[in-house]
Amino acid sequence: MSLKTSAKSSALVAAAMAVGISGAMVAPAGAADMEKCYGVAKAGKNDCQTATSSCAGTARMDHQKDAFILVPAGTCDKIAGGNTSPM
Amino acid sequence: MPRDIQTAFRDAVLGRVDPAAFAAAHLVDDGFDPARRLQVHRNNTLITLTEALGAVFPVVRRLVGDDFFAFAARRFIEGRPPASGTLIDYGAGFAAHLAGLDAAAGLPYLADVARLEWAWHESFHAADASPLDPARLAKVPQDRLPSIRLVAHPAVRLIDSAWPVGRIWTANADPARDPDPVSLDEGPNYLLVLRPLYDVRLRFLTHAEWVFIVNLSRQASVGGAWSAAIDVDSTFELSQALRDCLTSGVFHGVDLGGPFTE
Repeated sequence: MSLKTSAKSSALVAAAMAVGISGAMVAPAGAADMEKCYGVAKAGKNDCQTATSSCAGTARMDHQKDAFILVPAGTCDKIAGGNTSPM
Repeated sequence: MPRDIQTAFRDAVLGRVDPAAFAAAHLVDDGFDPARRLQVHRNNTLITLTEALGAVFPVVRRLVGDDFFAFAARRFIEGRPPASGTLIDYGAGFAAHLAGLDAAAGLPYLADVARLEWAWHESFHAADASPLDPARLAKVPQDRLPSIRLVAHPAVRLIDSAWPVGRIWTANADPARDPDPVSLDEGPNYLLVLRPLYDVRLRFLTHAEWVFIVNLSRQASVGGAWSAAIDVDSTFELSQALRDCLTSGVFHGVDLGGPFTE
């Protein structure tokens, strides 16, 4: 990039930034958020981790052998299509 | 407790050595079978840590189901028990663990969903900071603007994935909602996780916007970040991207590169 083009693009960048900054100053707070944000509360935000069944279920881990075939069995069956490897 | 006993106890709890043998060698029989007593402790450890991981990775858990999640979590716990006494630090390597888990190979997007959930968790626990007031930038002489460097808000995290993990996440984040089918053909997602005040938010960006913010978060000047963004997409709109960043709280501070006269 020549010095002249560089100076020109720098001026364009500066002008675009000035527009963006003044746009942000007049925009009501959080205006951009309203359109394309997803705010979901974190489950159990401030809970301590308590495992109520840990003492009662002494058999639970004993019998959890890894030998049986493990198949993911949740909502992943609703995700379909595409290739099985990233492009 | 001497260090070698502590190490052996940890290995017994994690199942790296035979727990019954450890119990017979080191635990006093006070009327309640030592092996069963140790088993209670093992359960407590594994279940508590599994629940802790489940609280951080609720969408991963929902995607694979409780049984598979417990299996994946147990493998992780056994290999990488907590290194810190603070439970909120636990789970940093879980995404990489899922990426290497043979049984999850059929779900190539799973590890990226976990990366997104960890980013969310980190953002939630990041330091509080006030977003940059655009009025501070308005005072900068216009010709100086391209060389300023913006400081990212501490709760900002940037995630990209070859898979539509943002869509997968939003479809599954609310357990009351039955997700609509998500097609992997929707392609890549470029995501911004941020918490300007108290609520963590997820924004879907274009590839160029994502590159712009990544460069800014790595201390590039705004002019440099703009240059990287237009290399990705020549139609990248700087004014709009900067405005969106400022109104959504992506930045915390600004380095003006020296004093100037107002």
